[in-house]
Amino acid sequence: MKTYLFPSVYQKLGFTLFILALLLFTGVLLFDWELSFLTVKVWALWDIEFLADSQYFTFIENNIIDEIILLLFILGLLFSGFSKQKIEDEYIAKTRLSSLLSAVLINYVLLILGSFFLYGLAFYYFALFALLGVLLIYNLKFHLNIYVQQKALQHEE
Amino acid sequence: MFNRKLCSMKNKIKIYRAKFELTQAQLAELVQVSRQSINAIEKAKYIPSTVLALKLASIFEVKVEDLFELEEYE
Repeated sequence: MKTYLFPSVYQKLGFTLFILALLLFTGVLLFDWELSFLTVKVWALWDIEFLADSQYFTFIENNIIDEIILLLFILGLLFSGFSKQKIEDEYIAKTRLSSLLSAVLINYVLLILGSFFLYGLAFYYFALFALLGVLLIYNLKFHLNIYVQQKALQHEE
Repeated sequence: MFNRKLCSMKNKIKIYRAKFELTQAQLAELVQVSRQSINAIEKAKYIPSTVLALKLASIFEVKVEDLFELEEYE
């Protein structure tokens, strides 16, 4: 079975993109960065604005910082999680698979809990996290497992 | 007849490795896996694929069943 993974150099690129996304996200959320030069005309397949009619297949004005941040988060997490390790063998493949399984399970358990215990804007923020939940938890699990395996080697020989 | 009791697998890789005076890193290089894999197999944390088991047996010039054996437990 052929499994597609990015070349190993993409791992560092992934971490860099993720940190960049985190910095931009923090800036926009906590420090209200305006970045008005990023307000441009974009083509919308479907747009529903608050207290307005839906629009389809049309051009609208939009600040694309949120799209850029989401793109950076997704690419960063994909590259850092799905790049080849120095030696990519069957044990690493098994570690990937078990990390991915845990990530899917944890993410959806959190989503069920969130849907019952979070309401209004709190659920909206949580849903934003859930967009990246699987990738985030997978990356954490996978890199933690690799770290633990490497630590275990230090006690050998 | 195969016993239906639950089974895990134990192995003698560490013993054979000592016999052949190989480090985990050297053995890993010979069978083209990471050192983490050899360490995990030795500690029975990971059961290798048939291909890897055959490669390991061939390095130590033994049959796979000399290197790995089923361990029954209730």
